[in-house]
Amino acid sequence: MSSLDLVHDVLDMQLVDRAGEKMGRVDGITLELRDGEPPRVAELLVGGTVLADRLGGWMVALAQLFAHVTGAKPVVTRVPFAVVQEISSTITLDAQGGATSALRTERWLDRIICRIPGSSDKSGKEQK
Amino acid sequence: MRIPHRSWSTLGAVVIALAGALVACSGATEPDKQLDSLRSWQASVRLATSAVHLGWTPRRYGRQLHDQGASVLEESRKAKLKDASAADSAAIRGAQRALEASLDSLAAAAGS
Amino acid sequence: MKKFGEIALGVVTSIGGFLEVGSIATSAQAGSEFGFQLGWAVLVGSVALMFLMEMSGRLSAVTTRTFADQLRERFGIRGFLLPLVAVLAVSFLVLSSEIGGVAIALQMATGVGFRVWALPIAFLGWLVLWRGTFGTVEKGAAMLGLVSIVFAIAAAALHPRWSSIAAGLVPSAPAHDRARYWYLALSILGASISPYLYFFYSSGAVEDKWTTEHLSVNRVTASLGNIFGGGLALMGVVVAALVFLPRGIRVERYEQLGMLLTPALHHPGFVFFLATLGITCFGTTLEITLSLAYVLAQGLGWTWSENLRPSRDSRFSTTYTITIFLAAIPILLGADVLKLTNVSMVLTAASLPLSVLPLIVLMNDREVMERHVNGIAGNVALVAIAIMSVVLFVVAVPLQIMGGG
Repeated sequence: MSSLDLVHDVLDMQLVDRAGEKMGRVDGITLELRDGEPPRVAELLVGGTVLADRLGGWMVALAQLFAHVTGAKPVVTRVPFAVVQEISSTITLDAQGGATSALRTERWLDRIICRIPGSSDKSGKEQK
Repeated sequence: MRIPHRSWSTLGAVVIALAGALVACSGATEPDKQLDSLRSWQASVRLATSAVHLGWTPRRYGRQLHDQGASVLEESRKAKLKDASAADSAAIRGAQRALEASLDSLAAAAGS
Repeated sequence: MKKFGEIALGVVTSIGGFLEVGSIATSAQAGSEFGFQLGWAVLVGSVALMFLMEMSGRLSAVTTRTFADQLRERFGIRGFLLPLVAVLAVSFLVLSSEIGGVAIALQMATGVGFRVWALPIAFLGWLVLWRGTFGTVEKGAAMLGLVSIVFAIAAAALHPRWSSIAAGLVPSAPAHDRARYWYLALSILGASISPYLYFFYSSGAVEDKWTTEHLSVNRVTASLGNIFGGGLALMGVVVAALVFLPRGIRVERYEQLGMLLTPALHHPGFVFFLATLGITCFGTTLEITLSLAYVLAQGLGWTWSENLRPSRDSRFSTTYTITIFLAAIPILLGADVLKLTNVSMVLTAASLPLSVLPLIVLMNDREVMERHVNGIAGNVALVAIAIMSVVLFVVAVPLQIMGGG
């Protein structure tokens, strides 16, 4: 029977989507507790507030301050464990990153960045 | 292997210590240090004067260094001295006059 | 043949990249106050950096992940946070100093005050990062940085006693001003061993898609590059010792350095000093800005690469944009660049344990490094560096207070 070391091999690992695009890191894990049976990994969590929770009091206060100042509603992306395709040096998900809330900030910034000249054309940079 | 969790209070203490160090840097000047600084600037101004004469550096640079030296002289004249004896003060005033003389030569060479 | 080209490029990159505002300032101060006596600090700094860079390069070549990736993955967010904050804060101060260095070079060249140059420099740096690739930064800035070889030429032209220089490579006690001596030693170490350097180098290994085939390139690049680069910093000490010390000139403002190379090389000495200061500091500005963005992006799992169009890695490109302009502000406001440099060098030295100690763990973890774990020599060096870094951390604040001049 194979085992999975959650802290060593899952927590804080890089998430990538089907296309290989980075989707953030596993900031938290939720376990499903079942009566009479061992706990099961329910979801992988991605989000700044999850990270702040792990760090304790100060960081949570800072995160709340940040949210208050920027007016951004913190979002926690919940990835059902079933979506996980492969666990190696990165964790591959059977999903499209852009469609999830994990890349919400990235997409939001995209719209601003695109307005700046030179952000979207070649000049030696990869097309990716 | 796990790195032990560092407490925030330690971090806070370090930051405060550093801040304190930075504040401490800008305290009152000691006579020795004043003297060293004045003499060092006098030598710098003398070297700059030769450099301008010999065409090693442009006159514009000579003017810049003159301004630096002049501001050091001014600060020195305004500065409060810690534990200054009569001899110390006399030495410092002498160094200030010497620096002033060198600055005049530099000004002449660089065309301030 | 191709490997030789890669090695040559890597070595040139390291040499051209070694001198920057910190090493120029600390070398000049050391030479003008203590002659050749602090040469050993430059040597120790270069050798330590050599080991740290080789290891971070090897780590990235073997795992194809960067140093920052590994820190987050192996030590979790708690173990990562303190190194992250320390590297970001300290590198930011160094970055400000570098921008200041370029600004002062421009001031000396044009007569226009350095504060005016802060934002234009930040803008130009941003433009290069925005439009250029990793290759542009790595190769371009480093090639141009070779102008710093003028320090070696000036030193040779002054006909120093090489035996005296060699004697300075052995640590010795100072005859006067002990606190100041050790303070300068600390600053030199902080100028040589900057964490942004090996974070940048490790990210570069991934940008250049290094694999285990590049291990020998890595070894040669890291060693030769830093030995020659350190040699240039040593030449800075030598020239200052021969030009400033006999005249009793103490370096208190960068402007005094305009004269540093002139007795040896006359007018070209002035021109090439400005070119060296401006170019090396600009190149380092680009490196540190990228380094800061790399560490943050990698630690948080964002898409990142200097080879991608900015719109493809928005959080990363936004980070470096904000960083470079923010770092220009202290210069815009007229900060004393030399004081800022000295303080940032000391803080760099003090922050070393946070990146060196985790490296001991990573380089010996067979799961991470497989058969490329550290050998005995590597571990002895790393532990020695780690002990030194802890000592530096402990003495940093006291020395800043007592020897900070």
